[in-house]
Amino acid sequence: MITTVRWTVLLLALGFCRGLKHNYIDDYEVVEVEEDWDLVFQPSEHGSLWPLPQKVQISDVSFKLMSSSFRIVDAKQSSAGPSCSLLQDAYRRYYEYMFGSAKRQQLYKSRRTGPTELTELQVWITSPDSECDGYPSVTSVESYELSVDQPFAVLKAPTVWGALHGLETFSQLVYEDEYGTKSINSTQINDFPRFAHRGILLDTSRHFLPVKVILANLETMAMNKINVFHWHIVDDPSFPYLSRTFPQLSRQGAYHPYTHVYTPADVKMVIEWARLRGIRVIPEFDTPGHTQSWGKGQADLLTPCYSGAKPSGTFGPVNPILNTTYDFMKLFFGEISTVFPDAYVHLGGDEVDFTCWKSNPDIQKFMEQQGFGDDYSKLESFYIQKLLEIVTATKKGYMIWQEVFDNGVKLKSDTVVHVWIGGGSNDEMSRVTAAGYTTILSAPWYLDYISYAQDWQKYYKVEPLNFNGTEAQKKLVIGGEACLWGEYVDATNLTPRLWPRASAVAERLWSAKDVTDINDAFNRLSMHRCRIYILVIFFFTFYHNYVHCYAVNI
Amino acid sequence: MANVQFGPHAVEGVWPLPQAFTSSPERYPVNSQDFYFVYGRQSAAQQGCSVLDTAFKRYFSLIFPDHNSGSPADRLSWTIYLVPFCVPDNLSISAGKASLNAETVWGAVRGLETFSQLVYQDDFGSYFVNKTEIDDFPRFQFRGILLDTSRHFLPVQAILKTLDAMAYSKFNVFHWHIVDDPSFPYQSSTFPDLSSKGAFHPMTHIYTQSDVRRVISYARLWGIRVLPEFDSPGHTTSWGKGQPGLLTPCYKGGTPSGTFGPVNPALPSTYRFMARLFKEVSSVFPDSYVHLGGDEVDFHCWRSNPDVRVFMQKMGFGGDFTKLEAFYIENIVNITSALNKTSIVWQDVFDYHERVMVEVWRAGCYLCEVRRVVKAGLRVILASPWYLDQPGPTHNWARYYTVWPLAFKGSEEQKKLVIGGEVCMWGEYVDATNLTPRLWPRASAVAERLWSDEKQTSSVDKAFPRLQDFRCKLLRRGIQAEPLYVGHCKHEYQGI
Repeated sequence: MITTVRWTVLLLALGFCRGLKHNYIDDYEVVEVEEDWDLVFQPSEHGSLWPLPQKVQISDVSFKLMSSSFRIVDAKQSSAGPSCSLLQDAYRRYYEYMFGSAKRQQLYKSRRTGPTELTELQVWITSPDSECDGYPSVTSVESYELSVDQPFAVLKAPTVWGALHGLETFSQLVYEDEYGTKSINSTQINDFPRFAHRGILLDTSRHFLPVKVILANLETMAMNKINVFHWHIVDDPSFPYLSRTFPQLSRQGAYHPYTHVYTPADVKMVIEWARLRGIRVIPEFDTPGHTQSWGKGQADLLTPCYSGAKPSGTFGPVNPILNTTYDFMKLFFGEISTVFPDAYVHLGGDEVDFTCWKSNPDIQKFMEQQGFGDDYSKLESFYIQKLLEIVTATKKGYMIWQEVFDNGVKLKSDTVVHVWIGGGSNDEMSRVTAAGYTTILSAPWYLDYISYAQDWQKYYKVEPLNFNGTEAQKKLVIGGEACLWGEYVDATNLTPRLWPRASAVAERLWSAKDVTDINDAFNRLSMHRCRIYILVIFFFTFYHNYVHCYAVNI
Repeated sequence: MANVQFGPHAVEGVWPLPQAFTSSPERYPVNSQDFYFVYGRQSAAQQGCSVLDTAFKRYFSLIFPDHNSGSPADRLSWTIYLVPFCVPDNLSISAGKASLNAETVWGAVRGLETFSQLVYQDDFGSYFVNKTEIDDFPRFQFRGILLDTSRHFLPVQAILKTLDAMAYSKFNVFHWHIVDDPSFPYQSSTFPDLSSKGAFHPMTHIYTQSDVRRVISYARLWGIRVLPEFDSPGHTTSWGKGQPGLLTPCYKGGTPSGTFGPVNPALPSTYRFMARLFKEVSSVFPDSYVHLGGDEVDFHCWRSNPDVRVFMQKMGFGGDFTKLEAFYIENIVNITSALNKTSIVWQDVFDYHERVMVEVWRAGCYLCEVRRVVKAGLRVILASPWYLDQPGPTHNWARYYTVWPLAFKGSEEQKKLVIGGEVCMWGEYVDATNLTPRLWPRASAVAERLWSDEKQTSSVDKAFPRLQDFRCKLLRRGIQAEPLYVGHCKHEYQGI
C-alpha cells in the first residue's frame, strides 16, 4: 500500500510540468502573459541551464543516450580513481537523475552503438591533488570544462569540486524527446563561478527542521551550484544543537530534548552529505544577543535583568562581565571547532539590546571600572573582542554580522563581514570594503519576506557590486547569501518558499555580470523549477534508500 | 477566568469552536484495543450506511495515529452510539460511553470530527478524553473553498488531500473553478475537443469523467458538496481552442485581428452549445447549484465586432454593453433553470437577475455590496475578505479571522440571506508545490468564522493558542499546514 502511494506521488510530480524537453514550446501556442512584466514563453537558446555557464556553445547536432549503455567513468589520466568515493557516489547520483532509479532499468542485451549515440562521459581531474577526501573551502577551484562530442563526452576539472558542478551541468543538458528518448546536443562549456561564496542561510531555531528536510535542500542547493550552507543553528527560541561538552544546553533549551535536537551523528551526516555535493557547512552560534535558549541549560551565562533594585526574573544577552562566561565560551567553541571542519565559524553579533545590561547594577559598576561611561556599545566590543580571541585560538576564521564592524570592534584582517541591513546598493558595502574587510552580501536577499507575484525578479536584478568603491574594494566582495529566517517557515513551507526564489540569487552569484536578460532567465528558470520539484519528490520517495546507501558508504 | 478548567485538551481544543459546550477536568482513558463505533439502536442509519461506515474507519485512524492493528480485545469498554434523530446535533461523553446524536449523517460526520479532536495523548502515549457535553451547529450553511485548476493543473491527489483537510475544519463546499482562460482540463463527454485542444496537455493535464466522479464521491463521504464553476462569457480563452465559433472574433479596423474575446452572445449556436454543455454538467455534478461565473467581462472585443454591433441594434441595447452581458447571462440562467439547477454568479452580473445567488468578491466596501444584494432579496456568499492566494505574513490568519460578515445595517430577514462565505485560492502562483501550506491553517481561521458563534470567537489572542494547537493536529494528520509563528509541534512535518 505504502509503495503504491509513493509511486502515485512521484507520477503526480512528473505531471506538474510539461516535461523538460528543450523544444517543448513548439507543441503549444505561445501564451502571452497578460501582466505588466510582459514575459513571453519561448525556448531559450540555452535550454534549461541554470545558473548559466560563463561560456557555452550548443550546436544542433544531437546524440542519443541509452540508459542501458551510458556510463560515467574516470578518464585514464584523471588524478581521481575508483577510490574517490565522492566522485563514484556522484556518478551514480547523476545517472539516477538522468535515467531514474537503477531498479527501474531494464537490461537490454548489448547492442551495436549507433553513430548518433553517446555512450560515455569521462571525468578527468587535472590537478595532482583531486581534493577528493578534503572539504570544500572559500579558495577551492570550482571551474570545469565540458565537451560533449563523439565518441565520448569529456569533463575536465582541476578538482572534484569543479567536476561536481560539471556533472550537474551535463545532467541539465540532457532532455527527453516526444518518444521518451534521452538526448544531448553537442556542446562546449567553459565555466567558473563569478563569486566564491554562494550561500543559503536556514534557521533551525525558530522552527526545528528535520534532518531529512535539510538533506533534501542541500540536494537542491547543489543543483543551483550553491556552495555554502550557513546553518543558523541556535537562537532565542530553541537550542537544538546537542553539545557533547554541554549536553544540558539542548536538554533544557531545545523544543524537545530528543525529537527536536541535532545529535552529533546528525551533524556529521549533514556535513558529509554537504561535502559530497561540494557544499561547505558554516555554523552560526550567535552571541551575545539572540541567546535566550542558551540560558536554560547554562546557569549564570545570561545577564539577569533588574526591575528597580531587584532582579526581575528575566534575562538579557550573555553576561560579559563574568570570567565564567569566557571559560564556557572557550570550551564550547573548542568543541565547535572540532565538530565543524570548515575554516570559518559565524559568530553573529547582531541586534544586541542594551536595556537589560543598563538595568543591572553589577554591569553598571563594571562599566564604570572600565571607563566605558554610558556607551554600551563599548561593552559589546569588549565582549566580542574576548570572544574573537577565543575563536582565533581554535584556529578558525570568523564571520560576523555587520553591527560588530559598525560598533568599531577590533577585527582580524581576514574577518568576513556579513552585510544584512539596507537594500541592494548600500553605503555599508562601501564602508566595510573601504576598511579592507572581506564582505558577503545578504541585504537584498531576505527570502523570508514574501510578496505576491514574481518576486524572484527582484532578487535577480540585484547587482552585488553596485556600490561606490575602487576595483580593489569590489574584489573584497566574495559573494552573498540568501537568508530564510524561520519565524514563519518550517518543513511544511520551506521548500516552496526557497525554490525557485533562491535560484535567482544562485545565478546572480555564479553567472557573468552581464547575464541580465529577464525573459531568457524566466524561460530557463521555469524549466529549472520543474527539475527541482521532480528531484524533491524523488528525494522524499526514495529517501530511505538514500540514507541506507549513505550509511553503508561511510 | 471561567475558562481556566479547559486545558488545550478540553473543548477549547476543538476547532472550529462548538456553539455550546461544557467540559470537566475529569478524564477517561481510551484504549484503541477496546474502542468501537456502534450505530444506536434507534438510529435511522445502520450498518451499510456508506457515509458513516467510511467515517468510522477514517476517524478510528485519526483518533489513534499510533494504532497498530492488533487483535481487538473482547470487552467493549468504549462505544460511540449514534442516534440520528435529535436536533440540534449533540455529543455527550461520560465514563465508558460517548453518544453522538445528529439529525442526519452529515451532522454525524461533523460530530465525529469534534470527538476525534477531543481525544488526546499524554506523554506516555496513552489516550484520554475528558467528560464533555456539546451541542453544535454551524452559523452559516455555506462554508466553501475555491480551488482554481485552470491557471495551474492540480493533480486529483492534491484535490483529495484538500478535501480531507476541509473536513477537519468542517468546510462543506468545494467550489471547483475548473476552467478559465489558461486551460480547460475538464474532459467533456459531449465536447471532447474542449480539453483535447484547450488543456495544458490532452492526456496528463485533464480531469476525466472518472476523475470527476472520484472527487465527487470522495467529497460526499466527508459531507462536502462539489460546486462546479463554468465561468462565461469572459474567462473563456481556453474554450475557444476546441470550439470554433464560440468566442467573439475581435476586429482591428475593418478586419478580424485574429484574437478572440468573450463568448459570442449574438449567435444562436452559442446557446445551443451552452445548453448541451450544461446538460452534461448538470448530470455529472449532482449538486443542485452551479456557478456560472460572469465576472470581469471586457467589452472591447464585443465593441470592435460589427456583427455584435448589428445585434445590439436589433435588440435595442443602444451602446450599453452591460445590457448585452445581461442578455447573455439571462439566457444561460434559463438554460440551467430548465435543468433544475440554481445558479450562482459573481457580483458583477447580479444587477440583472432575480433567480440567482450572488457571490461578492470585489475588495473595498464588500459589506456595502452585501447589503445591496440582500436588499434586492437575493442570497449572498461572501468571498472578498478571504482571498488566500495572497501570501502571509501581511495576509496572516488574524486578518482573515477578524472579518464580521453580518456587520451591516439590515433586518434579521436580510441577514439570513447571507448564507455563508468562501475562501478563494486563485491559481496564478499556486500549484501542488505550494497549495497546502498556503491554504492551511489560514483557511481554518475562516472556517471558525463561518461555523462558530461570533461572540465566543471574537478575540485573536484567545484563538491564537487554539489555532496553533489545531495546526499541530493537522500536521499529525499529514496535512502540510504552515506555522503561524515561532514554535514547534510534538510531531513535525516530515515531508511527503
